Formats: sequence, C-alpha cells, structure tokens
Amino acid sequence: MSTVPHDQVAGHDDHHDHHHPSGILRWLTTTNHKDIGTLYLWFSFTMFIVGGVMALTIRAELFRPGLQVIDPEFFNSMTTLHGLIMVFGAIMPAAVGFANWMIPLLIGAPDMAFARMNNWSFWLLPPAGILLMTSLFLPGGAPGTGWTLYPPLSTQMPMGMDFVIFAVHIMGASSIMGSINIITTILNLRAPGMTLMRMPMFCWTWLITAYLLVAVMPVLAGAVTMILTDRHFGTSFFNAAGGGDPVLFQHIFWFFGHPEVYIIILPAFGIISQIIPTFSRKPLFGYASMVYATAGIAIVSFIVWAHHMFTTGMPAVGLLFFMYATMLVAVPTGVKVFNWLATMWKGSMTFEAPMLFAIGFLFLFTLGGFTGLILSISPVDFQVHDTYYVVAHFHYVMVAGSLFAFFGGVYYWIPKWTGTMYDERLAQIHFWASLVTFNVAFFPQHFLGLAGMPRRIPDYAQQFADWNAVSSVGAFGFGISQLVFLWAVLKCIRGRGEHAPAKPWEGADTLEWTVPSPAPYHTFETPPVIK
Amino acid sequence: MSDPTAAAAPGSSEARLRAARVRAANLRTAFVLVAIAVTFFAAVIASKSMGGYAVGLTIVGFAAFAFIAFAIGRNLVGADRVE
Repeated sequence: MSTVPHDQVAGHDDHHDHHHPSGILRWLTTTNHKDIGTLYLWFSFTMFIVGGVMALTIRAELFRPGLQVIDPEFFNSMTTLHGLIMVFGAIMPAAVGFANWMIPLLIGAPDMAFARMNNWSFWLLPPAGILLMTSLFLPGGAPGTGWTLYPPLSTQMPMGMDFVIFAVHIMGASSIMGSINIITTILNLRAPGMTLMRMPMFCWTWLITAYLLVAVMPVLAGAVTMILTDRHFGTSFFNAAGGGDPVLFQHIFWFFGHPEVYIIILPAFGIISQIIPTFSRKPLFGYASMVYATAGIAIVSFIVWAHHMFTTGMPAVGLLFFMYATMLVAVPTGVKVFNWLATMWKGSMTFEAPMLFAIGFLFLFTLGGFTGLILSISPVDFQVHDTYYVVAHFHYVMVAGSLFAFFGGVYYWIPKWTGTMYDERLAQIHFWASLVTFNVAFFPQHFLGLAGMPRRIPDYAQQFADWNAVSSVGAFGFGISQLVFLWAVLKCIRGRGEHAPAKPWEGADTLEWTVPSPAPYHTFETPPVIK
Repeated sequence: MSDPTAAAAPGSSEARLRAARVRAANLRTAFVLVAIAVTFFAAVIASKSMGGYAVGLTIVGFAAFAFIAFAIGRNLVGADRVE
C-alpha cells in the first residue's frame, strides 16, 4: 500500500499539543483515541494482574491434595472472579485498547467517530471492576457460580451476586458502545482510497468482532437481567419450582458465550496478521480468503453454542447438529493458519519478539484448536466434560492464543506508542519464560482431565497430586514471567532505550508507520490518500 | 468515506458541509447498531416471558442472522456505492 506523503509525516500537529489538559484531568476528560487506548491497556493489565493473583491463589490451593490455603467457598469465589475478570476485565479491554490506539492510525482517520462516547465507554469499566471486587467483601462473599453464572446457584447466592450482575451490565454497555464506535469509525472514516478490501487485517477482524459484540452482549444482558428478576421480583424464568427452566439460561448464556470466544480471539488473529507479514517481509498470503474466513468463523459461531451443553441432555439430532457445526469452525480457522504459514513460506524471516510471540501463538493456539475439535465430538465430550481437559483447552486458546498475540502486539507497536524501542533481550526472556512456564502449567492439565479430575474443586484424589504440583509450579513461573513484561514496557515508557524511527520494522507497510514515533497527539487531521 | 476533506480548504463551507455529512452518516450507523442491541436485549426477555423454549431459540437465532445480514449488507452496499 502506498500513500501520498503530506505534512503529517513532519508532525505538523504539534501546535495542537498545548490544547489538552495535563495530569489526572487529561486522563479523566480525554477524548483522544490514543489516550483512551492507553487507558484501556493499563486497565486491562491491572485486571490481568488481579485475575492472575486469583489464579495463583487457586493454584496454591491445588498444589497439594487436601484443604490447606483457602476454604472451599472462597475457592469457588476465586474461580468465578478469575474467569469474569480475565474475560471482561483483562482480555476484552486489551483488545479494545489496541483497537482505540491502532484503528484510526491504520485507516488514516483523525480519531474515533464518537470521541466523547469513547471516553464514557472506558470510564464505565473501573466502576464495574470495583463492583466485581467489592463483592468479595459483602456478607456471604463473592458468588461461587463460576463465570457462567448458572442458575439455580446464581438465583440463590447472597448479595454479591447482584453486584456481579450489575458489573456485567456495565461492562456489557461499555462493550456495546465501544463496538458501535469501532464499526462507525471503520465504515465512515477511512482515508480516501482505502476500500474495505484494502484495509489492514486488524481492522477487518475488529469490524467483525464489533458486530459479534453488538449482537451477543445484549443477549447476556437479557440473561442476567432475568436472573435479577428471578432473585428479587418473583419471576420464574429459571426457577423450576415456578415453572421455569434452569437449562434455558445455559442456552442463552452460551448463545452469548460461544461467540464471546471469537470476540476474544478474532482481534488476536488481526494482530498476528499484521505481525507475520512484517517479519516475513512478504504481503499477507490470501488476504481475501482471510477476510472471508474471519466472517465465516463469526457466522458459524452463532450456531454452535450447545456444544457447551452436550451433557445436559438433548435429542440425538441436536447432538449431531452441534457436533458437526462445531467441527465446521475448523475449516475457516484452518484457512487462516494455512495463510499465516504460507506468508512465512520462503519469506526473509527475522525473529524479533513480536514474531516470536506470533509463532508461539500459532503453535499453541493450533494445539488449543485441536483439543477443541476433540471436545466437539459429543461422545468424547461426555467423558471429559467439566474436567481439567476443558480447562487446559480454553487456556490454550485464551492465554496462548489471545494473550500471546497481545504481547506480540505490544512489542510490535510500542515503538510507535512511546517513541522508544523495547529492550529486545528482556522481550526474548519474557517470551521464552512465558512459553515454557505456560506449557508447564497447562499441558499437564490435559492428563489430569483425561484421568478424570473435575474442574472447580479445591480438593482432589491423591492420584492427581503429581501433575497438579507441576501445574502449580508452572503457573507461578508464568506469573513471575509477566513482571519481565512490565519491566520491558516501563523501560520504554521512561524512554530508556534506543529512539524509535517512524518505521522501525523494515517489512511494515501500513499507515501508522508513516507518522513519527511517538505518534503525535493528533494524527491524520488531513486524511492521507491511499494509492 | 466518500468525500476526502483533503480536497477542501480547512474551515471552508465545503469542508464544513462534508464534516456535517460524515457526522450524519456516523449517527445513522450508530442508530442502526443501537437498534440491534436494544432489540436483542428486549427480544430475549420477551421471548422467554411469552414464548416456549423452541420459540425463544428460534426468535433469537432468526434475529441474529437477520440483523447481521441486514447491517453488514447495508453497510457494504453503502461502502461500494461511495468508493
């Protein structure tokens, strides 16, 4: 993609810089997409640490059989909050942070379409996070329902459940507003000449993700609203005693929950699709097929939800339909993996940290995808449902999938964000430590699940002791590895490193690399023309 | 976006007109998306209040496809027209 150069490159926007306030007021009132992107990313990292500490509490308890660190009720609260915080507080806001920072820069727009709403979308999140955490200190503690909030547990939990429901509502509203902003920005504010089929893949994956969010977040909001009315207003949506059906909640929840998996992974696909061509020094192989595969994944994601519920009992036709529909997801996903590999094929590859994380993603996400394929086979799912096999599967998808892609994305774009090159040695240490410890933590969980260890239990039979100890050691190692990431990022923010040129990566060809590093506060006020 | 503001001098009436047009397009897009969200939220509760198990699932499933097809189709058609 070539652009007509203009005075943007010379940083002509400097005269705007004195308009924005400084200090805390800057961050509270900002409508600048870069500031808001930064806020999202820091919020996400904070929640990642909070959710991570909860994970380590869980793993500390599971290090040995028996109850030694926390009581079972608190253990259940930890599993619930860990899931909710990681999904809604860490991964999703991280993806929105990348979107805020990069989409306007990638499409040549001056800012997001609704700048004030963008500020509001972000500032809804901290109160939601506080509500989630506050539930821990209420009488009865935080709910122990698991992140899926299944009734009848959720209709019987103490008032911490109401806080969680309110938090989910707020985070849902924030996500919907963010999605509306992203869709509108991409559809209406692209630079002249940037047709939809010339957009960087990250924008495509986010466009499709945003549609998914708009479609499914209200469904989750409806489901938790019905739980709320069952709890306090005498309705019986999910109360069997009043004629309701608890399984109905599961259908509604997973109608949201399965597309949610793709909401989490598609932006990661987008980041990987930016990184691999850059470090292979080749254009992305099969761009159009990547777009259609992404859309295909999104569409199929609406018709596979009941594979999470094979064991609730459903007709054989239902089992077969959801089994085959789930297997169908492997086709567009396979197209994407093939295209990434084909992009690397005979490329002049170099292995800086972003590329390492991309390759790590490719290897581990594919592994998680394969275990997903195994789980889609309903007779197999009957055997391993609610075991650690499932826990291992979704952590390979969410941690080694999304999180690795986000780490890669941070290392890829941080020179543009801060104007300083990251410390390659630290980043490599971070990658290898994360790769090894992640696998030590989660690979043994496949064995535990296949051996029959149920998930969400604080105690277990002696036969599971060894692999649990290994898994806990790996989890603590993974947690410590993230301190290296924090160190590397803080070094960049404090300017401790080489000054980053406008285009630090030889193979990069998207618009963000045409502006100086760090990116000026205002960019593309005069849209570039794409040739 | 069909009208590059680059072609108009900043502050000129043409630039203002184009900016107003973009704002209107932004609002239209947002309203369509808000309608999707509100309909899904209301429909999922209404279908559970009034309909049976199969009715609810059918409504939600149909609505999902209809809305997404409409929204994507509308915007793709619009985008093709202006580019």
